[in-house]
Amino acid sequence: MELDEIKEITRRIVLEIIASNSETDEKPANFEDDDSLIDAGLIDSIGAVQLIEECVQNFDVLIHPAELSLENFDTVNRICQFIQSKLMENQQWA
Amino acid sequence: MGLIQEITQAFLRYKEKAAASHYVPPNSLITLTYGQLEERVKGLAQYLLKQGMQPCDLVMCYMTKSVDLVVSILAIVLNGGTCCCFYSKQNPQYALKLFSMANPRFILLEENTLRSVKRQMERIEPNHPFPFYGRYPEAGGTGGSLQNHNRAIYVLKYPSVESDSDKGLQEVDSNFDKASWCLFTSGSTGSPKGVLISGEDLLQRAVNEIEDYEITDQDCLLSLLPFSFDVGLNQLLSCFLSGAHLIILNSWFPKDILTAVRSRNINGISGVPSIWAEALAYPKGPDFEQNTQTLRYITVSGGDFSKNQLLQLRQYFRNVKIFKTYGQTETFRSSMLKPFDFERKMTSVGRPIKGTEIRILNEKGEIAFPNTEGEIVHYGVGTMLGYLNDLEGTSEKLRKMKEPGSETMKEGKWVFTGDRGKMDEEGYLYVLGREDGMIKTLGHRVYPKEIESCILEYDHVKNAAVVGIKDERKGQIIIAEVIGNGALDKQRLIIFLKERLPYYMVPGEINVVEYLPMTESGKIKYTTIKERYEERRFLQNHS
Repeated sequence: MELDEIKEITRRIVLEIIASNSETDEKPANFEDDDSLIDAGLIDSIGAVQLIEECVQNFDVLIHPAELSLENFDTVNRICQFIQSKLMENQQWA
Repeated sequence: MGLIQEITQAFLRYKEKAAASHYVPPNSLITLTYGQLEERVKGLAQYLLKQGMQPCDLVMCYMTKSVDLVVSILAIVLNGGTCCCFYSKQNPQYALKLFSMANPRFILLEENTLRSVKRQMERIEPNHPFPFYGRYPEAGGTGGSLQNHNRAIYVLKYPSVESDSDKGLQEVDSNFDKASWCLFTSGSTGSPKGVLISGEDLLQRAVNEIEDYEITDQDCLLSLLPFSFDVGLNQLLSCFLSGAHLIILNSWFPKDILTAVRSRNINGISGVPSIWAEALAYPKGPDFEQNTQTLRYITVSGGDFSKNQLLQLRQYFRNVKIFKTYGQTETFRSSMLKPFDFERKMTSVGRPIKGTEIRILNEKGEIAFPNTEGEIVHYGVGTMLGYLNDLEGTSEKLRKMKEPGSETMKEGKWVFTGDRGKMDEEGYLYVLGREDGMIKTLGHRVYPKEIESCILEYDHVKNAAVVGIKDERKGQIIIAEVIGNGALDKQRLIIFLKERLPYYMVPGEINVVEYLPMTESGKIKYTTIKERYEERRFLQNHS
């Protein structure tokens, strides 16, 4: 999977989570790929759990609890980087 | 001494010490000393006065959890205002709803929330000019000696209109004058309510917490909970009044929490069950004891843990004191289970905390006998002043009552919690569940919590929520939503439950889900789950 594709899916996941946690039907405002999502409160602690689940489902990767951190999941770019490295790991084993 | 004086004293006394930090693992840290905090707080307070803020004004903060939010909160309180902050999500429509409910004098915002509020207001009233806003520090100003952290706090004058809510305010008058804080229960049920709390009570709560958790000016406390949640707010006040150091971490990932504990030498964490449930699933690693050696206490507040989970938590944090607390936003904390009672009474929520009294009332309004159930009522420290702009709601929740059966006949305001519970002979409180969450099925009264605890005993379950849905034949049928941990076999779980619960308590339907709808403070939103099933049932019956 190319980085662009990973990014597109990641952005969709993030948007869906923000929308599903919102009390209203309002579409969330835009965010940049380097904007903090969790630390800046765009996705709250509960949404973070959803975010991980969605990544596991969408990218078909196994994520170890020790990999769950702001370092890997706080921005779209970090998520993409992390997912890409996971996918490369998968390839090595395949 | 009042809350304001105590805070001012702390600024002076601990000047050079670290007061508040924002930590983003692994190594980003912004820290303010008490001296720097004072400078920023007083600067903002002055700015607000210049904009026309008066004592008793309600000021809302729509900001993420950061040192700027800490500065804003303290500035509002120091000016004698009523502070109300809520958690910032990308949700301007909800924010606007709260603004119109609370009718604040000012709203403090950060760049992101200012932008989204502006966009939303302009969408609703395109021809209406956006209200005046200014920024602190003012353009060209430095905002004090803290050069490396110079983000602006935006101060918006809310376009107050003479409306019904103004009248409401006047009626509640005496309550509102005394209020230092307004907490919105964005909670598990119904529409949000603003719970007003006096400065006097906030101070007493903090004093109690400092005593119970033995907090000193040498401590570092990890702040995981929002300040819009009573437990998170109290941790902040306890911290500053005792000269301790508050480390803000906006992540509930166990790895981030453990990294913070290790690298920032954390001594205490106030937490909710969801945080600890995640931690339990996290492998400890060989250096765990070494890495967590500074940690002295953790709290399990705002929700319950099953006995199984508590035992696991005890095993996980072997050398840490575990405090379990129970309360509502309207009562703050009613009871506490202290570490020395943990082994013996872990299924209880402990005994009433200092300055509070708890009674269990039966249907006739009399004090229930030990070990018989009834409604939990609360008196004393922690009691709210009332709801914001809601006299009817206030009089329903907060009632004057002579203490039943007592010779002293204490008259005062009791909070009718709507929680069902019982007390044992030694005065330990057991919470059974919400009065309105009680399920009546096949003529039996069942509390979701009893079923949930049993489901949580099962090894492959991480979390569970049980609701009752209207059913013509049975009264209500029981539905469970369960989050699995690894390989969860639904059929085996049902067999497991059948062996342990009476037949009428075994859920008629169990659904394995990936996540449960939760509030910001980690409480399950039962109404959301219930509505979902009721809607589905309605559609089934009408298709």
